[in-house]
Amino acid sequence: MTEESNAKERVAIIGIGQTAFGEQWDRSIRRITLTAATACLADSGVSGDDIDGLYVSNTSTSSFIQQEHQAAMAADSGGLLPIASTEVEAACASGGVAVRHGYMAVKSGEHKVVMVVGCEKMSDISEAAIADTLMSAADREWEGQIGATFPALFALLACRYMHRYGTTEEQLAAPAVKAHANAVDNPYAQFRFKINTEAVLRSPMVADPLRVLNCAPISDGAAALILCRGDMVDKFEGDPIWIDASTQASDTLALHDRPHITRFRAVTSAAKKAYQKLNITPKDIDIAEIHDSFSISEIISVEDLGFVEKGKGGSAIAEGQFDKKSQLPVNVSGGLKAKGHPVGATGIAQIAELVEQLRGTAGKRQVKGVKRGLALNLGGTGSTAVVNILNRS
Amino acid sequence: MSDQSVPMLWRRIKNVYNLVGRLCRTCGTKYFPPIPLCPKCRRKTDFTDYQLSGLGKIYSYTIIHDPPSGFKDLAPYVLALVRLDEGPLVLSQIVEVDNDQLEIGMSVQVVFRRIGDAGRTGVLRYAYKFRPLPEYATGHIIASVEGEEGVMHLEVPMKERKQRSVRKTLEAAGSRVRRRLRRKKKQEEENQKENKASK
Ligand SMILES: [Zn+2]
Repeated sequence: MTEESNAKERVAIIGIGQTAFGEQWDRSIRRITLTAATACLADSGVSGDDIDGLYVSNTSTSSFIQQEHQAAMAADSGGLLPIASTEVEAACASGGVAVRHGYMAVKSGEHKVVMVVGCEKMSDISEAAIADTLMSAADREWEGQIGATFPALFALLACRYMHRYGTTEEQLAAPAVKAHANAVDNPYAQFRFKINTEAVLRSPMVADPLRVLNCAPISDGAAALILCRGDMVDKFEGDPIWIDASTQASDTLALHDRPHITRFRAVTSAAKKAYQKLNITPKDIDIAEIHDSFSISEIISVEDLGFVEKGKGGSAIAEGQFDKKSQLPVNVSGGLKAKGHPVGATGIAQIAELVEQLRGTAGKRQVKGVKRGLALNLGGTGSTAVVNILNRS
Repeated sequence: MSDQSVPMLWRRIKNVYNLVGRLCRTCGTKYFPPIPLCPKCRRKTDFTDYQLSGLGKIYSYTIIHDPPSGFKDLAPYVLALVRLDEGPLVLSQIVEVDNDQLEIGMSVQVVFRRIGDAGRTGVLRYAYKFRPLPEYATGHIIASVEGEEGVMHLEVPMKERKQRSVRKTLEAAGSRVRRRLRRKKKQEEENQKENKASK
């Protein structure tokens, strides 16, 4: 295969853009989506006329702001009509899955330059209404109607996990402590301050053993990427970072239908497919952004991605094995916990962070010498898992 | 139909008011909640209803301090995954329990309880919950027995079970009911025969 035809079959990310995450009561969803998209175009040197496909990821605008059809709305407010625009929904994994759809569209040759944009506007409604909406990511009929909340389902994972592996509450606090320490250097982050283990353990209980500071916050925000066919990267000024693999897997919607709840089968399955495709092992990953909507999700995920032995996730994070200065830094952005979690934008923002790190433009939070990055985005209680592996060359 | 009369229909839903799951006759797997398709057998699925005993053990649990709408007046309440003796896991609230005594592996039995608060319509929802068994339990043991005339609920006074294990008590009560049902059916058949003969 010649180098040129090889490049034609690859997919590059040539632009990223995002808004700061947090409560943005003074800005509409149109406004935040446009802000991220405009920043993304400026970063890539691509003009609106170059884009021939739009993928919009969003989780619950019907409940949060009673507005569906985000795809048409984004195409419209972005001045991109009559572009083909598609909305992607996979609960909290919407962003990662939308990136995968953009990737497949370009890789297939159907589209040449695609924008993938994710947005969520959560803070317009009450916390109780938000909690009820988030529960739609799990099984409404057999979990929600019984009195389960979304944090309660993760608490059930945590309780069983801690029982099985002897993980302590201090270890359970570790992902949140690490996330806050990292977010200090991220200008897009919602919480740019450190917390310590005691603060986590003193925070109010939400669902035993998960406390307020074990849970990601409610956020508004948007993030965008420009994807383009590999042989076209020289046409644009954006520094290309390559998507080497984009894989996805599913698990049961409800926890009670799983044979075990101390691992995420969909994570293992999606990761395995990606590693096999590239003929690499978890050791070949230099940096990762992992879905830490609840502390327990990061602990289980670092194991199921093959970064650490099963049952050792909590102690490894507590001992600093995934700190910014370690061999494999996880969530240098601050993760969902401290950077923020505007659900539909989350998976795209994870990729945007990896692009900055691989380009070497992450400023104060730059990790030196990283070549290959992995993003893991989860939907529901692990019912959807999507893994994207990016490469600097 | 007004909202308030909805419970009249709910009483006909066997899977929520009774612990009725599904048995796949192709592979022998039991499911609860009832699902539309056996994932192991897919198009070869051959489902029949299956009455679960309602006995099991806590597999994992949490105490909800921040309840969703519709459950405010219950909080804090215990939510658990219960591993039923027949195999399936079921998500349920645990009632009549001292939270300090909660533990994985605790034996529990099904009970019928109000599930949330009245909400805007004032309609109360009822469904299954679980409570500890046996040393913390009070009152009666409730069991469901499948007879030829359908499922019957039994309440066995606690004093009766003191001499025997819970399972034996339930089994004994169950076989009493089945005997009664058999006797009834036999009687009916004989009556029919007599009727025919007299015609
Ligand atoms: Zn089957």
